[in-house]
Amino acid sequence: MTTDKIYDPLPEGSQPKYKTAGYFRTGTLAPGGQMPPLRTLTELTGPRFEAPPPVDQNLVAGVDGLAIGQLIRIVVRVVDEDDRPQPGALIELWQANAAGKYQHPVDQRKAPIDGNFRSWGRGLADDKGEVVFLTIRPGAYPVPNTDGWWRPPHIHISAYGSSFVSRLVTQVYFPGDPLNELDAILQGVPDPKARERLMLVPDESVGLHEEALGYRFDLVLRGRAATPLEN
Amino acid sequence: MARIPTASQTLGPFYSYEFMRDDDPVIASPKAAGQHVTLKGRLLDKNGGPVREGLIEVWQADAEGRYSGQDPAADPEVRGFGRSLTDIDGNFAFQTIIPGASSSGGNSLQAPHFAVNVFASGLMRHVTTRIYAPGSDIADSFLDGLPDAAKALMLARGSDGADGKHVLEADIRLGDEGGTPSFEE
Ligand SMILES: [Fe+2]
Repeated sequence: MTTDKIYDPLPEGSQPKYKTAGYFRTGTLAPGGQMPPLRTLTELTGPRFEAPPPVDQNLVAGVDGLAIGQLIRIVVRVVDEDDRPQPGALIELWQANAAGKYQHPVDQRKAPIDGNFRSWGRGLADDKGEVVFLTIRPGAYPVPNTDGWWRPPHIHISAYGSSFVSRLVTQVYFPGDPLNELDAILQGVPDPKARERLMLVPDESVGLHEEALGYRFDLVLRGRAATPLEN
Repeated sequence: MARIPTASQTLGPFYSYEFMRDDDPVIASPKAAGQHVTLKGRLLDKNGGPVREGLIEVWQADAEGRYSGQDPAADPEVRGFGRSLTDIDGNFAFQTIIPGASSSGGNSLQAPHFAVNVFASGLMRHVTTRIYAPGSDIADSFLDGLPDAAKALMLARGSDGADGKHVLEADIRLGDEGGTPSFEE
């Protein structure tokens, strides 16, 4: 358990504003005048998780064959602000199928369901801080009751790090997709460099030869060593 | 190499039910030491409307103020963590115990409290707040320093539930007018 980490304030512009133009709902949820953070034993500790079932990282192996879509293999590497791997971090991943449809009762849109695709996966980071998922590139989907807003292809990722403060839920995107520039959620992050860091990084070396495109993503959780590390 | 933490993005409405296990809202087992309670409330928006598909996460100490994984003497029946996905009316609920006073990290103690992270579709980053158990006489420099109105919003209301189990109830109201006080993380 890591009570030896310190948590610097988040750099200006690196996180989305609670109120975001073009996304009406944010205005009814954004908190007002917040208090300075507490950093007691409560925040510096946090839950640990046991190993989930081993099959959870393969979203494409259906009973009748492979899921439809562009097969991709994603290496998610969980690190802290010192770039130290975070073994044991629980990662949850969820996404739409190739047609932009979720396996979820709240997704009522008329779009094809792929019986061979499971729209969720889960894993514990290994000693290198990595969890590897085999999935497909998700489709774009429209946001209901908006003036033609379509979410760009994206993958939701949730991570539990070493403390209550290091908890993170985010979404990752595909570099170069034209919808990225139009998305109120991605563009809600003010700093362009912080948006760039939400892009999956193509990496042939982690793909499956002639089968699945390879991508890497470094998930950086809050916290660094109290005393600077020697490099 | 110093790295900048990854930007948060909203939970969205499609966090899979498959992630939720039956024991996710069970923070302390029935065998745990301490006063057993149901900790419950509603997640509300600025207008008082329910927020559904929200994820409420709680982290707390055992009855002696010790945290699981941090203090080897901590009660093994208290996982300390739980999560609950809000229903269509915004309801969340946990089975737990009232935590003991825990260390502030320094020499002073903190009044019994539950640390809370809130995620929801349309909430661009999660919101961090606390729920305090009522009736504590611990001198707490943070809680005692709050204006009365803010303090009232962070204190749970205690009552006896229909099942004979004590209930602590606290709504979490989002929004920038009269909402539950939260921390600028
Ligand atoms: Fe999504």
